[in-house]
Amino acid sequence: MVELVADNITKVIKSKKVLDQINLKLEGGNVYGFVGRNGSGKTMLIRMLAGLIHPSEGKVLYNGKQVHKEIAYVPNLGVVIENIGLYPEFTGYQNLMFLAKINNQIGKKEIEEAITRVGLDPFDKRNFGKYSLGMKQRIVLAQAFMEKPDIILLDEPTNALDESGVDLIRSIILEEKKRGALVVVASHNKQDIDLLCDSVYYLRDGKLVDQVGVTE
Amino acid sequence: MGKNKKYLFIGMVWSIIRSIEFVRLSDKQEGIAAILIQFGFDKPHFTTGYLTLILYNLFPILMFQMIFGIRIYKHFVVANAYYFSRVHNKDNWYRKEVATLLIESLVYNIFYYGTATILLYVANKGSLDGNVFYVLLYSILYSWLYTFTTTLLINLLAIRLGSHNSFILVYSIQLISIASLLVYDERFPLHGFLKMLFQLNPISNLILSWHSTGDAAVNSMIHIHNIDFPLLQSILYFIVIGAMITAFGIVLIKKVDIALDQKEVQG
Repeated sequence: MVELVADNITKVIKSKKVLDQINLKLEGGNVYGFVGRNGSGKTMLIRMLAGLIHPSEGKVLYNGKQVHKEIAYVPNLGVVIENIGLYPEFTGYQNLMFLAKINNQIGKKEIEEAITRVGLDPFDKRNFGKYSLGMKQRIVLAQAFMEKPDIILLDEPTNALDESGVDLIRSIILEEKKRGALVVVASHNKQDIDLLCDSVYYLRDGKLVDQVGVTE
Repeated sequence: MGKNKKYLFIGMVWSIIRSIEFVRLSDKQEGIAAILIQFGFDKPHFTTGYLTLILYNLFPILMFQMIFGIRIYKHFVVANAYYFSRVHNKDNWYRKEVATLLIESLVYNIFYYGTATILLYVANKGSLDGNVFYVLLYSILYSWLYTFTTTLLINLLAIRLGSHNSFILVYSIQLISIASLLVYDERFPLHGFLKMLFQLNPISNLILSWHSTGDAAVNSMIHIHNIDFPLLQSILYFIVIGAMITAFGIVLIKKVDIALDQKEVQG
């Protein structure tokens, strides 16, 4: 079972502690919620767990191995970061194909299935730049799910989605949990947290201030 | 991605435009080697007029910098989290990007000088003798290494400073390097501190006419003002600068935080 640990993580940016001594242990087969106001550190913590940024202090451990030291990256990862899109000059399919070719784990069939799974047409000729906000969100989610990763980190996954889109993404998250993936959902949406999460971490000013349903 | 490869042909287009200038100069039989030297700043003088001409001759390189100056950097801007979460070895990735930029800048300069050589030959401006290949080789080498080094620097500085600031910085360095040549006067021999500054100026090292060579025929074409950069010295100069910038990139890529900017400190 996959395990991701934040061991006393602190991140300082321009003298400001944006994450302050965060400790948590996450395991596969669960959905974890990160809750907090703007500026609480949710997105920063997602970036940290994804291995995209370096801690100022502390470490991230993937199955016991320290990221950036013993291993260079977090393997088998799918991530969605709020406000980061895809290449606007390519179609949704072309975007996913470009990303899939980096590791060559999947082919055309899996990409088409991933796009269909989030309720979009894989043969849509429009470029990503022309998509509606909801379509953009769906295709970004598709890239996170397409390689069936062990770890899925989602920052505000239901942003810009209509009601049917929200229901669809929630059901996909639960399917991924059933598959054994470790899923993290950072969200302002109380319903997302209540319906999806086995455990919830509350953040304020970069600190972990409360945790509910967490077992050590 | 691969779309930028079509811009390599701009080198060819610009070469055709420049070559027409010399073809139209009609019966003047300067020889192809002598004309190629003019592509790379012939018989330079320390005057504002000539220094403006240097800028004009730099234009193909400036165009390459504009197009390829965000070739590596763009991965840090668009879809950065989704791209780099899949790049498992950033060192290997960086080496591959640098190698690709090295090849693209070489191909671009081969297109530029090669097209001119062919056009001038077809227009009966001279024969393809040993001097032509000698001048062609050094012209391509200097221009290639300079193009690669400056374009890589723009990319790397953009990762730290943003593309706007990166372009301003590198273009300013180039313009200041050109303008600083006004300090010199060909009536006075170069020595001491001024000579050292002159030799460290990247534009000085680009100008074939400030070099000398053991080949008497070529030397008589390029060597003026008793400024004696050995041809190989400038190649070494560009290789050292290029290696330093590449090494800076290795350290930068290792330490950079992906998908992080000032606005998102509140994340």
